[in-house]
Amino acid sequence: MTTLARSHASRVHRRRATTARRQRYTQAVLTTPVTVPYVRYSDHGAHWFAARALSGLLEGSGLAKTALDGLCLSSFTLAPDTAVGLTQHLGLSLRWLDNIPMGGAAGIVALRRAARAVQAGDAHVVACVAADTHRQDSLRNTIAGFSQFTQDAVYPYGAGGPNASFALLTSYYMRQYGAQREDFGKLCISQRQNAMSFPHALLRDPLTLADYLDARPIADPLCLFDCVMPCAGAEAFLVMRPERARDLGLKAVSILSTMERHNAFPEDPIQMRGGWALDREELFAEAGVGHQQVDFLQTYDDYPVISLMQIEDLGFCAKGEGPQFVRNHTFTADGSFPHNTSGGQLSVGQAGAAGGYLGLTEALRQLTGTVLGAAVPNARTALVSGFGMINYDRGLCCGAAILSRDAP
Amino acid sequence: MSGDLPPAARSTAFEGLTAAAARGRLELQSCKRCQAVQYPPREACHRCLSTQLHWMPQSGGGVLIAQTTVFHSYESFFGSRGTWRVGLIQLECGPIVMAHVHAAVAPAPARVRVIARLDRSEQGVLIAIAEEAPVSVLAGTSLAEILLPART
Repeated sequence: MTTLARSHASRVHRRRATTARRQRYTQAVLTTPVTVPYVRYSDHGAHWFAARALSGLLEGSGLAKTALDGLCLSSFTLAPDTAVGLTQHLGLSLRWLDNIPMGGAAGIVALRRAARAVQAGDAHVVACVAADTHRQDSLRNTIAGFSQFTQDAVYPYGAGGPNASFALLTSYYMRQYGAQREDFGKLCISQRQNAMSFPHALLRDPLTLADYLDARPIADPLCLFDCVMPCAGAEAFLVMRPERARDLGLKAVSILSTMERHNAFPEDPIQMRGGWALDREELFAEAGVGHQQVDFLQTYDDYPVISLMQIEDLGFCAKGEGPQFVRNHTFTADGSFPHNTSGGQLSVGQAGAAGGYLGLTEALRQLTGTVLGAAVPNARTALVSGFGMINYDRGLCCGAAILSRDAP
Repeated sequence: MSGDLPPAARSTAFEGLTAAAARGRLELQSCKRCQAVQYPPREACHRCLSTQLHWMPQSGGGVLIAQTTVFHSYESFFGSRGTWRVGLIQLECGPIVMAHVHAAVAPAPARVRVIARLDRSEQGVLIAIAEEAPVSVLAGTSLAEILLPART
C-alpha cells in the first residue's frame, strides 16, 4: 500500500470509528421538574393536564411561552388528538414536535429525543410532557383497545387488563426464582414509607405487611397493593443547553448515558428479563460510573415484580437473585438502596403516561436538592428506568438513563 | 358496558381463527415461505416478513407455563360470573397463546391441549383442557356458559 492509500484508509477507518461511537450528552441538560397534582378521577380532558404542566414549566423556568420551540408529548387519553392537535389547542408554534406512545418508557425516550434535538440545534427548549385524565370508564376503553394483539388475544380472556398480565409474570417469577409475597410486599411498604412525606402521593396511609398480605385478591398472586391505582395528572420537565439553564438561573441535571430497547428477547417464552440486560454494560461504561456510585434507583413500578426485574437486569444483582437482594436491603430514601423515593406509582398513583415520567421528575428533584418529600442524603448520581406497553404477553419498551447533579 | 356478551372486537387478521373455531378446529396462521407458525394473527410473517400466510390445523398440544385467576374484570360479562382462570400456554408448534383454562387442568407447569371454540359473541376463543381430557369435559362448566351452545 502506498503512503497515500494508507493515509486514506486510516482516515476512512477513523471516520467509521467516529460514526460508530455514540455521542455523549454534553450539550443538553434536564431542568424544571413539574408535577400537576394527581386526582383519582377528573372531568377534565388530557389537554387540561397538559396545559397545567406547560404552565408549570413556564412558571418554574421564567421562560415565555414563545421561548418553547419543541414539545415531546405522551398521553393515552388525548384521542382523537395527538401532540399535533395540542399545538393548536394550546397555541404553541413549534419547530420540533414528537409524540411518544411508549407509556412507561415515555419519559426516558422523551429525554433521549429531546436531548439530541437540543444538542443538534434542531430545537432550543423542548418541553417534555406526559399528561392523562382518568374518567370512570376511560381505563376500560384504554385497556380493551390497547393494541391489536390485546384486542384479539388477551382482552377476551377474562378482561383482567394489565393486572392479569402481570399476575402471569409474577406467578412464573415466583415459581422460577423462589420469590415470596413478602418480598414484593417489602418493596411496596418501603415505597409507601417514602410516599408518606411526598405531597403528591394519593396513597399516604401507612401500609403494614399484614395489610399487604391480607388485601383483596385482584388476579392471583396479585392483591390490591401489588397493583397501581389509575388516576389523572401530569409530569413534565424541560431540556435545554446547559448555558441556557445557567443564564436562567435554573438548577439542572446532566445526562451521563441512556439506553432504549424494544421487543428484546422475543424468543423467551415468558418475560423474565427486559432490554436492560442487553444494554446495561454499555450504559454504565458510557456513564463512567459503577453500580456502587448510583445513589438511588427509580424503577418503573406498576407492579413490584417488574421492579425486581429491573434491579436484576440493570445489574444490581444477578438474574433470579432479586428476592435475596430485597431481603438484604432497605429501600426507603435513607435506606441501603434508596428506591422509588417519591413512593413510586404504587403509592403516588399512575396518571397514564405520566407514570413513565414519575421517576424522572423525582430524580431531578433529588439531584437538584429540591425534593418535595424524603431526601436521599448527598445524592449525586441516579439511575432511572422505564418500562412500557404490554402489547400482548410482555412489555415491549425498555429504557434507562444515568443522571448526575454535576455539570456536563 | 357489553353486558351479557364477551368482548366481540377482533381484527380482520383474526378471522381465520374464528372460521376454523366455527368448525370446531384449531388452526393457526402459518407462513407459506418459512413455515413459521404464529399467534396472535398478523398481517405478515414475524420471522421472514412474507405476506403469504395460510391457516393450518394444529394439534394444540403444549404446556401451561403460567396461570392466574382473575378476581377483578373490566367486563361485567366476566365479573358477573365470579372468578376466571386464564393462562399462557407454550404450544409445541411454537407460539405462546393466552387461553381460558379448564378447572381440571393442574397448576402450572402442566401439559394441556388447546382447542378453539366460538364464544357467545361468535368469535373464536382458545381453551386449555387437560392433555388427556375429552372435549366433553367442558359440558356443564362455567366455560360452557360462555360458548355458543351449539358448539359445546
